[in-house]
Amino acid sequence: MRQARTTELPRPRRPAAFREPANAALYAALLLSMGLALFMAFVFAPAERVQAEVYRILFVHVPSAWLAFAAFGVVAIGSVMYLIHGKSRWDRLAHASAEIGVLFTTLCLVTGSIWGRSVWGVWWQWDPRLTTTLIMWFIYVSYLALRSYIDDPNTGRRMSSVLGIVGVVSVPIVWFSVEWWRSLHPTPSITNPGGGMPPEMLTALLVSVAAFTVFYVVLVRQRMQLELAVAELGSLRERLHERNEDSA
Amino acid sequence: MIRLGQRNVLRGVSLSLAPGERLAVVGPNGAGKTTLLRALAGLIRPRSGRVSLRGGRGPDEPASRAGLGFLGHRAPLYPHLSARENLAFAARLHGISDAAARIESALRTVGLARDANRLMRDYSRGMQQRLGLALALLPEPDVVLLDEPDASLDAAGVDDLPTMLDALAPRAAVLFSTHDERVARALGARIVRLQAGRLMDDPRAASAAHSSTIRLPPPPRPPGFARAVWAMIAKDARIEWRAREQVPTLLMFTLLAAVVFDMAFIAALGSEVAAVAVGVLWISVLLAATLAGTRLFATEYERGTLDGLLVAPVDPSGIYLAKFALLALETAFVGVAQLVFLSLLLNVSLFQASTIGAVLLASAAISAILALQSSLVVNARAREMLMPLLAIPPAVPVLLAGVGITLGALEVTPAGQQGAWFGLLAVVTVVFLTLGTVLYPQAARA
Repeated sequence: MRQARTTELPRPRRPAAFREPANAALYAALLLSMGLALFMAFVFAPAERVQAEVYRILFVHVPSAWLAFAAFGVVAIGSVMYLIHGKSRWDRLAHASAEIGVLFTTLCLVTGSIWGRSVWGVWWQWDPRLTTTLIMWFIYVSYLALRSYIDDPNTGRRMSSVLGIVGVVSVPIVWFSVEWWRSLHPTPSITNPGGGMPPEMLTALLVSVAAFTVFYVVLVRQRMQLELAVAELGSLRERLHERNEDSA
Repeated sequence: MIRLGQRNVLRGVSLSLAPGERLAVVGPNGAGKTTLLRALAGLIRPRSGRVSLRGGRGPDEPASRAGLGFLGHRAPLYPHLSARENLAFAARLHGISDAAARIESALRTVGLARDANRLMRDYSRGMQQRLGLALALLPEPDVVLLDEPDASLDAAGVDDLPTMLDALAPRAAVLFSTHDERVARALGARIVRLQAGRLMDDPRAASAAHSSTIRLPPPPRPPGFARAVWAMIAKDARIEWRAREQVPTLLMFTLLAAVVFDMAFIAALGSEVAAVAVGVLWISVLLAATLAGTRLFATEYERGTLDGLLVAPVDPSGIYLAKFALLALETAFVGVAQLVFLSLLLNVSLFQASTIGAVLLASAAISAILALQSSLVVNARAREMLMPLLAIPPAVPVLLAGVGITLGALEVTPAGQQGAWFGLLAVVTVVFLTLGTVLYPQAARA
């Protein structure tokens, strides 16, 4: 502590993870909603007539897909705002959301593949929904790659913001793919009132979407705080360096 | 304030200059001189503070760059153009009306009249620096920014500097950086010292207080947008004609792709020759476009000529459009060549109106995507590896549409769906051209 005072460096903000009330509330909400979602998915929702138990993977698959879309939408919003206002906070949001979006897209592809193996008998089909999702995954992986390959942070932020805006074009294509082309993939069941899903299943699905949304918010906040800590560490190092230069 | 990386490179620097005034920024290596000049030229965005030219708008607006002359560390010269051609291109970018006369007088002033038709790659460093000065001063700018103008000049060149400035920019406000205070004094410049991003002595006190009484001439009219875009396309075409960097290698690549893919697939598919031909056609078009696209902005960036384009009084979206047009031409060339190769090698009738139309439109669509992606990877490490990752996923719809149209043309699938595929190609072209035109200016300046 004494050393910190003599170098006149600001005290770093304390790691926020569990201490801030907002975070504590979020974690509580996450625990509760995830618990409820698990109960709904495995106990409350009845088995399906044809698929029996395997359909339950839907309670992970659908929320992942939804949140992938939402996450990439947030990437585009963060990118536009960063280019307009130049505040690195918006870029941190876009970056965090892209990472989590890729995570959820991966989850969506993997769970879809497992389901496909049991229902269609194959791990992969060259179906419009599957193919477009895979391309969307590639686009956001390339977004993350571009970020990590540009050394100057300001340039990296600008370039990836542009890509974050271009990439969002893929989201509506994935969304509408089941309607534009003949597809093996089941059509939307939540937004489509005649989807034919029993009310218990629909309730369970909505609860797991809500739980996953809380999960997404928690992850994005964590990732943004981590990024902020990294940036602060960098600027503290730089100030220390400058101070040493000045005194030399 | 300007940050590069985690570092604040410039802090609290405030300078003002009146017409005809010369100001030298002197400082050791790493003091922030280059950063200051690049920020003043609009090549770097300051995080806070502002740069105003002619007391008004900042250098990020094309019109305000009309009266700006900039010479950075490296003169923005194209190695495969002669001195005269380099100047002529700059004159077209800046919309200079009496270009020929001014180019001759600039060449005489910097002492290069006898070497005017030699290609830049044959010039020595010192000669390039002289030509760089002529280039920066060609538009008769009223604001001149020079980063170490004495660098790589011989003693005679350094002695000539005042004459060059007096002759080519007599009324301009000149701000330059140098290590050497003697150069600053020879140019009759006021000196400020920059150290670790801070000005050592505040120049505002010494600044010309009567600046408001000096009348500025009206800035030169910037060139028409279409004219500037055309100048950039013509410049690239001329360089390609001389250097032959892209077209012959792309052509050989296409032929190689045709042969290798044919050999790989024919054995497996046997009778389905048409399907093989279609697959090979579109894969090779996409790969060739990716190869050419990677170099699209990278060559300008590596030669330092991208700075020259960015300080010209042209909206940066024009640079994107020119690069798009160049790549579309190259890709279309490859595609049409591949139609011929495959028709000959596989004995299929690929050379038809609808397939040629598909190749042309798909080339436009792919190029609209790749030209933007190419500008994004320009600063990245391993850009040759990164470019395919960025470029190919969004180009998949183009691939599908191209395959759809050509399969229809070869009657492998019913021909009725071709209209929809052409529609998709048109939509992709329009969407990405719009995105590129809007977003490239955002990516152009760090």
